[in-house]
Amino acid sequence: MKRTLENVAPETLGPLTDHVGRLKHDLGKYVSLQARWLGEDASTADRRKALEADLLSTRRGPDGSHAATSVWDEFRPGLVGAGDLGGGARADLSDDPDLISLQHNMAIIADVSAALRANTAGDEVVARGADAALLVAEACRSLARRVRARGA
Amino acid sequence: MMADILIVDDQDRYAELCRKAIPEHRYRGPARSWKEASETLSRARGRIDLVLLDVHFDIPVEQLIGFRDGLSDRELNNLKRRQGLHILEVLRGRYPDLPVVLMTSREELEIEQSAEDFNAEEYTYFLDDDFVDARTLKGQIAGILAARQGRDSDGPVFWGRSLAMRRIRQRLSILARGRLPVVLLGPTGSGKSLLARHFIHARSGRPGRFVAVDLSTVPTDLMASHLFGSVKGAYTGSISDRTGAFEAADNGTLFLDEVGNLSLDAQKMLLSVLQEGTITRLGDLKERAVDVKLVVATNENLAKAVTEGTFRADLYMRLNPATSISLPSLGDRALDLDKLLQFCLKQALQRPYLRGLVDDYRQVHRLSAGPVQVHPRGPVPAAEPGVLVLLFPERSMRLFRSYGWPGNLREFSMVAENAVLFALAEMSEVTGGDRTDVIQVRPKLIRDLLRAAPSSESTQSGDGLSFSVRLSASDSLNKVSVDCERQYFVALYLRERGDFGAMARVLLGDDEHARKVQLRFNQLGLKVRELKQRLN
Repeated sequence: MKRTLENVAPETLGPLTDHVGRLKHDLGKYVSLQARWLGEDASTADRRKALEADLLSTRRGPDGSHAATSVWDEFRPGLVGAGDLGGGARADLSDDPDLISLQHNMAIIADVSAALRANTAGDEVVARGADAALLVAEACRSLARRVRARGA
Repeated sequence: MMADILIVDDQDRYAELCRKAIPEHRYRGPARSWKEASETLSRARGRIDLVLLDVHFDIPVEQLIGFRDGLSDRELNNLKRRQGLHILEVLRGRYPDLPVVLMTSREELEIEQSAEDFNAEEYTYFLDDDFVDARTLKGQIAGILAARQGRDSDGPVFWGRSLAMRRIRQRLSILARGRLPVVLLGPTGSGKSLLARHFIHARSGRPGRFVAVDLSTVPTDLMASHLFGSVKGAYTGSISDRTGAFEAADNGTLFLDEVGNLSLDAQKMLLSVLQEGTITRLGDLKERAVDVKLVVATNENLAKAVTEGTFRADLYMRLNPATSISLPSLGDRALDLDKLLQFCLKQALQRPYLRGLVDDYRQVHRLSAGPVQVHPRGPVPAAEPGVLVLLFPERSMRLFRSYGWPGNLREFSMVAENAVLFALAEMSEVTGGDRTDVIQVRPKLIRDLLRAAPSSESTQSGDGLSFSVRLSASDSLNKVSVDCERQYFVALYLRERGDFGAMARVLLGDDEHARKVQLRFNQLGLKVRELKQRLN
């Protein structure tokens, strides 16, 4: 049986909806926030700055700043059956297209983040990072929408 | 236009982006919880123009609002995910028409249901955070602020900033769209007719006409035909078919002012219209369907009229008294007077005769064309090319505030307009001076105008007696004195149960002078027989 959303046990859908909702709020909403605000005519420097803010300070609040990769590390176990979603509920979505997209693009983001930190990210890397961030945001939205639809 | 925007969000990112991408506004926050938001709103004292509100708040449980005792982890997470909606609910209660932009995608929440629950759909907007960009947000904020400015200044309805008026506005905007009748209560001059025409009808979405009938001016025996129409020969003098107000207002709004004056016959017919949605012209058998939004107004206590039998109980209930709107008197809106003054004069200055006077004044003083600004209270502003300032010093404003305004908004707008008229006339005769661009409306002028107001009431009391004295500017001192004496005599007569001896003791220190008191009583034109009836 494929490990997709469609095969998650009905009793797990509640906790999973919460988990994915928080993922969308904490990661999907902010991972390409500044990049999205940039116009097409933005300079390379502005794009790089926006990407740094999006990927390296994805969440920013009174408890400090968190990179996209660390936010993802917090949520990933709950999506691949390795973390408790609450009350002992577990869900494994390893074969789900949205999760595959998330894993793939978060891996790119991890590489791009390292390059940004090391100040070695060229234009091409910045463009790749921005694309991956957009796809992560899209996957978070899609997953949240599907989980809600299944739970409804 | 620069606006004050409060951001309520558990994260910094939106606040940072707004400051960076839309720097033309002033931002406060982010407030990370309702507590922080309410503190900021209290400090701002009504100066916040817009709230940007996140929905999902990942904050410590103790900072959440909403019922949280005994909730499971999952339920607490749900509370966090919808925390913005709980904040919206409290915000709506305290700041009913403050525009709030909810930063969430529509599909994320059962938005329509939530908005309805919070009675907030009119001032709540959604920012689809999935796809938002700077231009979208900028455009949305500009649109909301423009619409709000338009609402605050549109038409002749003055809302002001008081919470009571904001609540009334919110309720009326809901009632305007529905099918139920609207009952407006309030003292004369408080703006019932303006509200009916310019707010309720304007927002009703009805394509038909607005028809107003002042029932205090319609003779009782003509009331039914006036409202419901008649056919030729229905009554003596009915020489042709006549369309009534209900038919004229079909698909529109019918405003019945002073509804307490409705004759019992007309009340019965009105009840039938409300129940059946049809009218029958007097003398006709044919029923005609009408679809009318009914707004009624009165200064009377209709519930009391029902108990006294002058107003039908079943009609009263049909008029939807539970949702009646009570308009405050102007005396209860003292905080709004500065704004109201600006509002009234802005309208008055659009009238040709006042505009002509302003133009004449500019010509005399060789001032260039430009706007007129109304400044309630000082200080004298710096001169600007073309700007003519109407300055109401603090002492003038104090007179406005201390006056009771028995004629409410109507009286206020007349006095304000006259003040400008006379101030312009006074200043036009003066040439030279340092600041001819500043027209001061002096306290003396205001005092004179208020003295000349159609009615000013004062109450005198002493020894347990109280009565009101109605004064008019044209009254001689003798008339005022006699009026006052007459009322004092009446009050004393009633208190002493018609005992002239007791009255003489009070007035002259000796009850032996009862005859003198009775003579004066007669001189004042007071009738013992009438007063005895009041004693009985």
